[in-house]
Amino acid sequence: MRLARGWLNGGRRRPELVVPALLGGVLLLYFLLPFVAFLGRVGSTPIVAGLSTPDARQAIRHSLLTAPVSTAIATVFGVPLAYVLARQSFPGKRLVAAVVVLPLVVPPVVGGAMILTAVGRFTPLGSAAAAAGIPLTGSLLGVVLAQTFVAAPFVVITSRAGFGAVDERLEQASRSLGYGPLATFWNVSLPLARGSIVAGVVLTFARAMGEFGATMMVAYNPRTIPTQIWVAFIGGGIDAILPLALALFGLTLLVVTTLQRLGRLPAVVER
Amino acid sequence: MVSRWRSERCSRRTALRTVAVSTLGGLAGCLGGGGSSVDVLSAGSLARTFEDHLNPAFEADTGIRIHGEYHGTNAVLRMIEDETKHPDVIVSADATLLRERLSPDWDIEFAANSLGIAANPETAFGRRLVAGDEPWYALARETDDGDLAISDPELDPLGYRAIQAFDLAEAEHDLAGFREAMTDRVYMEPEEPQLLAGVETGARVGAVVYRNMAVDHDLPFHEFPPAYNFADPERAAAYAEATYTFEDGTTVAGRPIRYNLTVPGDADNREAAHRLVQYLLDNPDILQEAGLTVGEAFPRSTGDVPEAIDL
Repeated sequence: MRLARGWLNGGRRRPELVVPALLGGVLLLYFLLPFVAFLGRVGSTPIVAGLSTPDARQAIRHSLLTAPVSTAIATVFGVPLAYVLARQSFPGKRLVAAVVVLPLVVPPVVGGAMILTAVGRFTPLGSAAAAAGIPLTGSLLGVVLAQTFVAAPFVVITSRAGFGAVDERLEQASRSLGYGPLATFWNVSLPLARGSIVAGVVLTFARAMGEFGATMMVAYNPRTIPTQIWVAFIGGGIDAILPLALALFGLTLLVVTTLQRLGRLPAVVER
Repeated sequence: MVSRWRSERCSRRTALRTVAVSTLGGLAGCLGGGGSSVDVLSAGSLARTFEDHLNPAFEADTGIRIHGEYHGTNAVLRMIEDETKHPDVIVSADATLLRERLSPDWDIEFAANSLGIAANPETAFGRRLVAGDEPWYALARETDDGDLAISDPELDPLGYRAIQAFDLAEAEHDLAGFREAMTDRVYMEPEEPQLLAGVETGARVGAVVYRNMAVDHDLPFHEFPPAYNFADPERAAAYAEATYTFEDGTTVAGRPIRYNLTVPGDADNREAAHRLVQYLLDNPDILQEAGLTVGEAFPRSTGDVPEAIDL
């Protein structure tokens, strides 16, 4: 009790934050408990040795290759989609919005099965691609397909909210000053929605890094970190997955903080 | 200020371009594959056998890399039936099931496994099981609901074999009502790999598993006697006394645990697949080290085995 009062008296007084902080603290504690328990096993496991096996290194390379590509694809196609959804009413818009959410609703394994029915090796598309030497399943391209399917909705949904919050009159002002629609999008809408877009990119990247369900259906091999973790788990249990799980935490955290830093750079020229 | 922002944007753009180019280059490089490899779709209980024992040895001796994929045997067969996967070698933990479901041109049984209980040595149950003063079934009867785990009998042969083992143990040791009592009491784990994770973390005191799984996880293992460990092909008739009926009404009789494999006719890397099969047959010690049983009875072939494979 005294601790709480001290916290309230220290710094700026924000008594209105006590209840939210307490409620949030419950969730935070719930997040932390499994982390601490899991990381508590680190002491008894050789982490470096676990990460230096060829399989582990290859999985890390594959993840670092595929997740950024998936994120880039999701962003290049997703942000324009988000802009259209935020700015334009058209018949069937609700349907389009629902399609965007669909990959979030279906379990990843079902998403993987859906991708397989569309581009699997025995489908017209899949067999043509395989014949051309670009297999869409069991390849890094397959991993990218799975990751993009599952992770892309995050950047679309978040960016749409960001564009929605941009005052349309600013865009109109830009147009009335003689700038074209593209210049207006690039110089006004995009910078103003940047926070939301970066948040979406971060979410998409994190989801792509951790993607397992759809990936293992479409491309179990070549293995990414989550698939290699699963193989290690089948054979060796919880201690066997520690090294790669730590690597996944570390790498994702690194990229996410870097992205957030980039997102904070000045959006408009300040004088 | 303007120029600073410009240069920053430029450098960032350059950096992004560098990343994109190198990523795409790497992606294209990996698409080609490079070096020969063979895709194996195998029963999950052999994951460690392949990953830790067979794959490194095979690659060192032949230069061929094994790409292993592991699921429960039912899932493996389902993926072949549905044409969602197209491996070069298919390995099943239930020889009969592979034969019935896939009707391959040929298959080879290459190893057996035995059933028993893996226990957490830090629990009272585990300590008493390891001490060996009391029979396992007496200890199992004393466990509380959910303490002991088996695989889900509806999804996994390991699960219905556990139930059948309870059945045969009931007859063998004259334990009235043992199968029913145990079936009510055990926790049924839907995912085979989670079985031993439960034991390791202390969520369960023990689980009915194959011997090689206990070896993989470094857990104490109490092997059932031959009367109900399903390891002896000679006892096939006695094992068949125990049955399990699925929810859809079909009944499966107990049968020895026999791993078999086949190479599909349309496999991409047939030659490499045949070499792997040959390697497996020539090196039974690798399988034994991993906890499998490779006795005189193996290998046993069915159908027309390709000439490239020498039994």
